[in-house]
Amino acid sequence: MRTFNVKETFKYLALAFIMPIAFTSCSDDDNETPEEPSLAEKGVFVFNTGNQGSSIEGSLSFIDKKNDKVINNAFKTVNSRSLGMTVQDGVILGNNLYIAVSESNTIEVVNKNTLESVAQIQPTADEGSTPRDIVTDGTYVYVSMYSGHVSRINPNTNSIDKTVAVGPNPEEMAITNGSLYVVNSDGLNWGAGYVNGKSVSKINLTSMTEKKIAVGLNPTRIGADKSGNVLLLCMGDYGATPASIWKINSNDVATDMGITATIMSVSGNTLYTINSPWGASEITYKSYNTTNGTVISESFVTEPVDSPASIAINSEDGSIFITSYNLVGGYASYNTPGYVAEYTSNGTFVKKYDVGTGAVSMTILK
Amino acid sequence: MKNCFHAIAVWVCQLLWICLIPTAVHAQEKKDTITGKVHQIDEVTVTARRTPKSVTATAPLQSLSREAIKHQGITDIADALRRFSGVNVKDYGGAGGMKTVSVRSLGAQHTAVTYDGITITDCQSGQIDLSRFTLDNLKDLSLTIGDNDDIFLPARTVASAASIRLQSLEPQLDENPYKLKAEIKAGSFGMVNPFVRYDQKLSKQTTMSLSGDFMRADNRYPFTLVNGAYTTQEKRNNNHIATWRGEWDVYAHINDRSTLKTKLYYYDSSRELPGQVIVYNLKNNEKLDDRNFFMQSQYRTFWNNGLSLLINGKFNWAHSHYHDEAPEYPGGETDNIYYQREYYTSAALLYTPQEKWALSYAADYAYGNLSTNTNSQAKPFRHTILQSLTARYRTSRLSLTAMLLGSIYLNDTQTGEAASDARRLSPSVSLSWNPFSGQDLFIRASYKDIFRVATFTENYFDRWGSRNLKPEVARQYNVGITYHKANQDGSSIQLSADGYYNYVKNKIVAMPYNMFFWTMVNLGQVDIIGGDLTGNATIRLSSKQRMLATLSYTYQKAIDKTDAQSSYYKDQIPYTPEHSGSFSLAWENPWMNLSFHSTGVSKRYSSVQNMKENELDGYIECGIALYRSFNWKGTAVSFRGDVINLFDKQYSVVKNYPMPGRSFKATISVTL
Repeated sequence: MRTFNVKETFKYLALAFIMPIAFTSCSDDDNETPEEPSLAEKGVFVFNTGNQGSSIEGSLSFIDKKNDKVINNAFKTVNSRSLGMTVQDGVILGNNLYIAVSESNTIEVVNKNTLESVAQIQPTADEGSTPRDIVTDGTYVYVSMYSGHVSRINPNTNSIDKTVAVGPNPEEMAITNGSLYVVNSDGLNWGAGYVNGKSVSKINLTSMTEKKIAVGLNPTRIGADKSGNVLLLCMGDYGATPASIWKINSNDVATDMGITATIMSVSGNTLYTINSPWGASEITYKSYNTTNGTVISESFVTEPVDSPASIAINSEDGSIFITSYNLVGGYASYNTPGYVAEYTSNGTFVKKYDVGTGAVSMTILK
Repeated sequence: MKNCFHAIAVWVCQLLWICLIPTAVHAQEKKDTITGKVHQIDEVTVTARRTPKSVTATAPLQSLSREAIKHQGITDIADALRRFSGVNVKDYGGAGGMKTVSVRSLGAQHTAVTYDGITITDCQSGQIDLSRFTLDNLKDLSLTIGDNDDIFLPARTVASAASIRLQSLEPQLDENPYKLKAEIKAGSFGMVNPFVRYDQKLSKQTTMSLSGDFMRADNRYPFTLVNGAYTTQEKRNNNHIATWRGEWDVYAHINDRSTLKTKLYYYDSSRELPGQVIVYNLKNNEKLDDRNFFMQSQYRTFWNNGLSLLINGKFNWAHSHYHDEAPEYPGGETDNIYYQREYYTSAALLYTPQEKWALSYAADYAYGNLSTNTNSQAKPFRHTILQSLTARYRTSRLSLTAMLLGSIYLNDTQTGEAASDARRLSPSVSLSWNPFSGQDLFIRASYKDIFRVATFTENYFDRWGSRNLKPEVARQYNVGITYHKANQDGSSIQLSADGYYNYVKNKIVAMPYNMFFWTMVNLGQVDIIGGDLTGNATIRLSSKQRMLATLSYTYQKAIDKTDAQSSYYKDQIPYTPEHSGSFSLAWENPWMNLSFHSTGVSKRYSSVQNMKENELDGYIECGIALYRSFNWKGTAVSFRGDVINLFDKQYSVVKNYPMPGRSFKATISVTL
């Protein structure tokens, strides 16, 4: 038998020490030089939720219509910090863009052109938590809080100055005739059939008083037309009760319009709807007249997207923007970047823009 | 009909427990007739050889003894597992925090965990949180990838792609009829962990051991939060843990041929969950309470005609309660409560007609159910019937094993629609060959075709669940070479190198319906090519000094092959480093033993797409341990001090779950 070679063994041991050093990854600190921030002048802000389950933070994309390009991760590039987890929505008032970030529980206020942060609002418990949707009446900014509140932001101080209790689990809001309408989804109470929702809270913006209007099951989206009608989407229970569009007239009476859709948007007196229920083989894109409910177009776009998430209409030229997930194996991919498809007012496909992960809403910068 | 099945299940269990007693008595009566002839059962055969089992095994086998745990400076069970090659430990940080194990990129649900030969199951999630086991009571732990030539096992042990096997420390009573060990561990971030174990001889053949421990920690450790160009110093919040654990083991060596072991186990933990670190919002209120009780028995005997019998029985009960508070929830809070129960029996027969041949047959039956307060309209239950037939041919130079596992999973539910059943035949073959006589050099090759069925969560919960899921298939091919050499003076070296190809198809993945709804689909295919290296060496420096070194290295290329059109086609799957490894070096001496150890991984991705935003940096973490045992006025005293994460490296195993920086731990134990 050969004797054990101690020297040889030590050589192996030395190797053992060296091996782990090979795993040290190079630090990437050297490529942190931020790009010169492109000024946003005309285009579309796209709000990307990210995906909390996959640890993907939210982000802001800007479709630059002037230079015909898309800027992704725009907030982080300009401000060298994260916008936050689960970016939901944004609205422009004056020179600022107000962005609701639900899981980070912030409302980020940025200059709409430079995207530099002006303020970061962190609501107190009394002001609500989990910002969801954000709108403006031209004077104030209103943010719906999933905790069951609508809070008013004073643009002069960029702080919350009023909070109204609504809910449970309010989602989108619409403003018309001096009143704010917010849908009460009761979305986290699905186990009990959304029983405490089924309503819209109407808030008088002068007195900041609230009253409830009964609507269908699980309302999530809402919009107001030019004539003062409020249209909302009741998602149903994703089972026996299908999704349907409801309408609230000027006397605060809500009726089911009998229009089946899963996504909606209102512009002028046109209601744009997309119906893409889970597992459906075909996605329909129908538009309606908001006043009488008649069909304007059986298909308002010429080329469908893969898995639509939201619609935005540029009220100036009627151009249509639809955010979409990409598909993996035929299913919507929620943890990879999506895209925005642009169409002319008559539905002709113009261009596709690759944006961030979880693009769920848009705001037009005119 | 459903109740009838349940009743039968309970009855079969009870029958088995009752049967054990007369068999034991019967075996005892035969004691006098035993001749001096030593019968070769599996364990005896192995210990008779000087070559370690991990060298001769037909499929990769890695193990850690109690001694090795000490000289490799291993601090807890997760730390032990990450020293193995091919292993990915998911660690959310902090003492007692959730830890799951994936082997060779197959996913945590393909890893079985056995405790004293009987599988630990969780029908709710299908994965075992290893943080609930303590190293204090273990004799050794091992990892088997695929099936090797150890064939006398319950069918359920071989029903997974890989298995982690924990073996309890049996009472070691010499002259005294009892032994008492008291130990206390204390460490950073409010960790205190007293442990007591009492061993006693009950009769000539029977011993017992009773042990219990309590552990608490605040885990409010500091971490550096990096947010773009800004960094802040933060503390982990809502991370307190308190656990109680008790075990009672009775070992009856009925005669030279028969043993009966019974274990009662209870575990109770309440922990706060710190959650993901979310920028600008570090608040979290989540809590998780777990309770688990099980009782298991194992009876083992053999006869002179070449037959051996192994009977196992187990009853398992588990309760989990998740609680969260936020104004968003109805009533300001949410509670998810689950109860699960399982009855399990197994009988295995080994037949060794002559030295070279061994045949074994095992039949397992389990009945498990789950009830919950969540609105799923289901109270599911499942009958599992597993049978394995194995043949082994073994000479001094060659070992060849072939197995066929037949699985039947029958699903039903008390209300609502039941998930689909699964029936499959799973073959597995492995061989080990020693080409040169007189040299401990072995070449091995193995193939295993296995699958996992959907968990109850995947079938029924996350709102609706997905009733029609097909099993997730995992196929493994392995070739390897092992070498061992030992000297008369106690020095030794052991090396192994394995290359493997695995693939997973019909992978069960979650697909969101929308923000709140998830559904599970059989979508996903992963191709895995990898290599494992392990080595360890013992060098005797003098009569009372030696050096012990270990090394492991893993290369894994695990790529997503789900959809050629997708943006992450052929990307490395999440949380799978291409390179990972560990090493340890210990110097044992009469004064103060010293161990230095390190583990490291290369960069990983936290989500499916291999883009910059999803990148997680690689890291190297080092630690040292000092330990010594001595006698003080007839009392055995052990001392150990650990510095974990010696260089205070900030890293995360899971994105947004920072790991603790440098921490300290001291252990003192006395044995009377």
